[in-house]
Amino acid sequence: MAEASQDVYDVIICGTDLIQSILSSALSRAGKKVLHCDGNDWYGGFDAVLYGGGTLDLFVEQCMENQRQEDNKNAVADVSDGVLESETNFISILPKEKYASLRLHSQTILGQTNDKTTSADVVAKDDTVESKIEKLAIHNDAVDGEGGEDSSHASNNNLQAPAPSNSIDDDQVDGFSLDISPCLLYASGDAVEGMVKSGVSDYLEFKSVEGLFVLMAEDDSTKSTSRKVNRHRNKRGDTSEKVDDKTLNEKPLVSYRVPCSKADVFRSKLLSPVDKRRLMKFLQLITDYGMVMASQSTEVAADDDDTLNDNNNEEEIPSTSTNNNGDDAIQSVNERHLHRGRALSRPQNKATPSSSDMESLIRCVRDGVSFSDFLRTVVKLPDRLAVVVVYALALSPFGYNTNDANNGPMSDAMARVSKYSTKDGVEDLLLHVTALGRFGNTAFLTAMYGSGELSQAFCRSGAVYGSTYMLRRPPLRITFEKDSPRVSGVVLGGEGIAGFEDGLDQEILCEHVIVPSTMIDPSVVRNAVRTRTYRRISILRGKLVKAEREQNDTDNSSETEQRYAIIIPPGTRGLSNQSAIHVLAFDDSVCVSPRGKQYTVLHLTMTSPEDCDSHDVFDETLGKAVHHLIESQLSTNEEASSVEECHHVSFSFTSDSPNNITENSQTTGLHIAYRDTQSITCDSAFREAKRIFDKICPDADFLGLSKKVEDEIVYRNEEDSDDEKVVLDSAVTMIEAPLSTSTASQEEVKPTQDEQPIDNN
Amino acid sequence: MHGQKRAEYKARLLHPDTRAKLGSKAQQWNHLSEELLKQRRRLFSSPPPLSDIDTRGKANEGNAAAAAPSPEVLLALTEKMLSVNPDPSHLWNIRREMLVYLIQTAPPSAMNTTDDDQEGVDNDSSAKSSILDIEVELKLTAHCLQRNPKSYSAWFHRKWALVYFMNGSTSQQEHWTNMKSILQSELELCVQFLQLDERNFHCWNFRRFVVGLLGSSGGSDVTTTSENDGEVNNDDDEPTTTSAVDNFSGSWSAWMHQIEEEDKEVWMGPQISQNACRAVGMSTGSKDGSSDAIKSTTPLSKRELEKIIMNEWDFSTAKIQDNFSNGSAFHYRSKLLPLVLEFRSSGDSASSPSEAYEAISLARDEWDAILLDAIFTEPDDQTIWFYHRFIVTWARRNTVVVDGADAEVTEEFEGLLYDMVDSIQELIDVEKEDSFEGNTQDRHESKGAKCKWAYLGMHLVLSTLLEFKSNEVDDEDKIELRERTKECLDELMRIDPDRRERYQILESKLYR
Repeated sequence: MAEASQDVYDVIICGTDLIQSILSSALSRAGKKVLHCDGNDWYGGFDAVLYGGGTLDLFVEQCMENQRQEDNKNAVADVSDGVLESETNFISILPKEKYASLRLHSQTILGQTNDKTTSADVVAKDDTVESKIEKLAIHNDAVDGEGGEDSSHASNNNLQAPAPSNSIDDDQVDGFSLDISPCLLYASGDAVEGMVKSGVSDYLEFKSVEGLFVLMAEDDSTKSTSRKVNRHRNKRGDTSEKVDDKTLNEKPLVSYRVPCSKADVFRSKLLSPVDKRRLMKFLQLITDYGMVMASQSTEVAADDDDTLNDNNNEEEIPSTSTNNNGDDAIQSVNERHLHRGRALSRPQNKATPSSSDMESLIRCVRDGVSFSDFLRTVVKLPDRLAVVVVYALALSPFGYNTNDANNGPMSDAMARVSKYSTKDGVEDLLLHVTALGRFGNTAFLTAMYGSGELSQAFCRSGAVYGSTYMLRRPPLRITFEKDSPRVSGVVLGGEGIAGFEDGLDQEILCEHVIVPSTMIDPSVVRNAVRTRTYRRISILRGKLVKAEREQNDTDNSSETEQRYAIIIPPGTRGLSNQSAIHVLAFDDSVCVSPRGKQYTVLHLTMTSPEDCDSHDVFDETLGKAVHHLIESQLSTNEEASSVEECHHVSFSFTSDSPNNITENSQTTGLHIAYRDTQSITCDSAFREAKRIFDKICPDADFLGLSKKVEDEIVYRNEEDSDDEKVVLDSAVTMIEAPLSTSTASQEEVKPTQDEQPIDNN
Repeated sequence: MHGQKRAEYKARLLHPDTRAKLGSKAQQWNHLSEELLKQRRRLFSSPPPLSDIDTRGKANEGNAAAAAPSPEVLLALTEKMLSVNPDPSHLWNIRREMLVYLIQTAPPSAMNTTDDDQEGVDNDSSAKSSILDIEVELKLTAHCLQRNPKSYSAWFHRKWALVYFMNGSTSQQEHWTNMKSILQSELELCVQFLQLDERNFHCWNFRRFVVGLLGSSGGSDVTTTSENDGEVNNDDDEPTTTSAVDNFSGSWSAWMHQIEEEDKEVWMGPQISQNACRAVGMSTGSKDGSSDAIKSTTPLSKRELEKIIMNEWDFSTAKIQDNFSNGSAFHYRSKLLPLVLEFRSSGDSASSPSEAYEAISLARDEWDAILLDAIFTEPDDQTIWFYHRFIVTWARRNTVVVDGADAEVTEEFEGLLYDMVDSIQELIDVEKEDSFEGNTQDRHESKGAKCKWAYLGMHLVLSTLLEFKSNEVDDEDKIELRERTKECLDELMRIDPDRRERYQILESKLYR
């Protein structure tokens, strides 16, 4: 494997993040000769899953290393870091610890701390980092509001000693699988389609996410309806509890189930009746819009309606003809789109939506009206509900602007990310809405053992189709042909291979290079907008989300399994977060925490619109968010008081999104992969992979199975045993055999009961 | 089957290979059917000697005449055939025939080996049940129902087996306890089936049947201290179902006919209502003849009944929460409502409000907790409007108390109706407004948002209010109500011209 021959490869892929792994699998399927290299010892890059006591420590150490370097030679190094140097004809790739300028902000040590873990050693070695981290630790304590009992922790001057009650036993440490970038999958979307088509799903297991919640301050308007009810209660003589407005502000935030499907809207305690009506109308309109768009691009595969049509919108939608087509499309929904989720479908006696609503939506999409304005003025959703739509339904991290002048002027970066047009919003919504009702209670799936398994699965399938894999070989430079913008190869570092002493760098030739934007210096990616993603991984003792009681009747099994997504919209009281915080909570039901132990792994993600230096603020916000999350569950259940955070690690890295996709036209063969900023699902990785794939192999089938494998599968399915035939055969033999005696027949009766598959319940 | 094109499906069926396979199966099936009927005919044309010793002897030694068909073989054949195709009811009939035949011809000596608890008891009923292996029947029907969850005959057979087993035995406490655990697992089965298809009315029916059995299955000895007399003495006081079993000839239609003659309702669940009433100590009023339709060994205690009923109530709530477009769940709820009311109003004797008042407040709870949210979520779903209609008329009925209208009740009911008017009006306003343009004037009725059901619901509430006030003098309120009712009907005539005549008649009644 390590024999990097002098062959010329078609494609060299740098890094094993999810996008590159998908590409590796797809390109090798398309017959390309692929070399896939990664400087790390493990697969996945920034999509990797880290294991407690193993790769997690390595990762943390790497963060430290980077920080130490940066702190030591702060201003010195920056100048020389690889800019495209036209004379030398190469782009240097950052050393692996500098990818995406990863930074560690604060952490507590995982595991019983008497033996020094590796990361603790690192802390001890470097004064500056230690003091910095310690300072943050104090911050967090203050935030927790439990400074009293934890003050020993802060004043101890020793980061390694979290309160003993909080720590995790040593032998349980390796039971944790922590994702650097955890993600879900839409139950029906690009990711699932890609995995089913490619057969990669055979390598993985998934479970449904049990609930999508939004964490918000309680609202007064919902009070009014309950007051109405109370009025009658009072008549009856019940004394209803009086709501004290003053205490309202100190009340913990409340987590509401996000109303996505019809049943959700019906059950939702977040909405007033009128809001329910407006939201349902709006959601149905969105699904209809999806149908109309799909029907208008019949030449495109039916499922690609979300991405592919958009370019055609302007030409293809003359507003007059649309209406008729649209109505037809929606009325024939049952025939054409039965395979889609029907969580929002109308009753059969009413198939037609209001066509004037559709007209206005199409007009707003065409005119580039901002999504916030659309929701507020056209759909007439109240602010609070519009916030839910933007952040918890469209799942955008940014984008809802109250038309409030009081907020003061926005920073440039903020204004940039806040541009969220109706078109963007509707597309994001469609992704979510079409994935509803497919599997489980939400639109989401989550991979067992962490979402980092995805990239490993794709790498494995890539290897099956002939990709060459090289771990521990960091790419150093991308070289170009002389006096030409054409890529000639990649120089791989030799170091890190055991027994390979001289560590010779080696140039390997190729036609295409795929490199993530995070691996190269920001100055090379000129058009891109750099944002910084802040992550906090917390390990909680206890179950964060308590089971809802009404649900218990129908599904007992998932009662306390923790597979939840929680959205905290921007500007939430007490947090003043700039972007939405996406929270994922998992437990041992997906094998990310030690089996049988009551731990919940909490992933928090938020984004800063610019790569600024105020890391502390963000880190602190995430810490507070954890506190709020725990508290929000407190109000509903007293047992929740047993939930406490016993470990966390907080870090950040940058990601770039291109302003316009017309990248690097001056080079050929270089493809830069952009990871999506803070997407709760990884479907965008598949779209990005497809984009690059289409450039390299314009006519090939993306992620198709080879004919041979496909035949195998068809054959396998055909061979399904026909139990009807088995039973009938046995019955026929029973009467044809000379069964004159009842003893013989009684013998016959026995085996038939065994061979029937009736003991399923 | 969903999501595939019919043409593809057809093409697959017409493929020569598939056809050949299906053809051979059909041949086998026909062969089996013929053989089965032939053997059955032979069995009855030459009945085996009724002497018990002879029958057993044949079975054990196995050297009797080879020609004599054995019921066991027929039983095994029906089992195999039914597990392939659960629908043909004649097969089920034959199966039941054989089961009963085997039990009736079984010598009493066999009973001792199968059921050791019954040694002392020597009456007919105990001998009968001991041979029906309920587990086999439950397993077989479960398998068949997995194949076709809407097979009438399979569901029926399951009911038959349960009742036959339940009544066949003596009224020993242990038997009831055993029965109870079987019935509880039947409820679990219903949960599973309704998880797969929440609108499978067969299963809803079956659930009510099971709950009915559960309600008449007698109390457990722990909790029934006050209600029962302590002694189990019902040997000659068999439930009526036994008589049906006694005369069972193996045919479904005859069975149903018989039941209809005795008491149709027994099968639909009111036996629990009977029991509930008895336990609660209330008279059921109308049901004079049927009051002794079912007598369990020990009446259930009130608390036990309440637990059963409230469990069902919560179950229907959960199902409605999952998907409120579920007529079966609402129907079940409507059946449970009177029972829930009984439990609610029979709380603390003195301080609690009257039953009529409690009925109104129950109706309000239904409105607040379910109907209001449902009509705003999907106003075009008829299911909720039907339940709304039920609730309004049910509450209306409950306001008519024996000793004249109670002022408090009347006031409460009117309050509820006015709240309904307000909410439905709000709904109509939201629906009618051209939400994207903000005008409500030139809305094209052809383009959706007709809100027919909202107007119908509004009409119902308004006309109920009017009817309620029919004895009062025409004051302003009443005139306005009438005006609004008329507007409602006018609108309905516009948006639903097919039923114009109906609305006209309703309107003509307004001014009578």
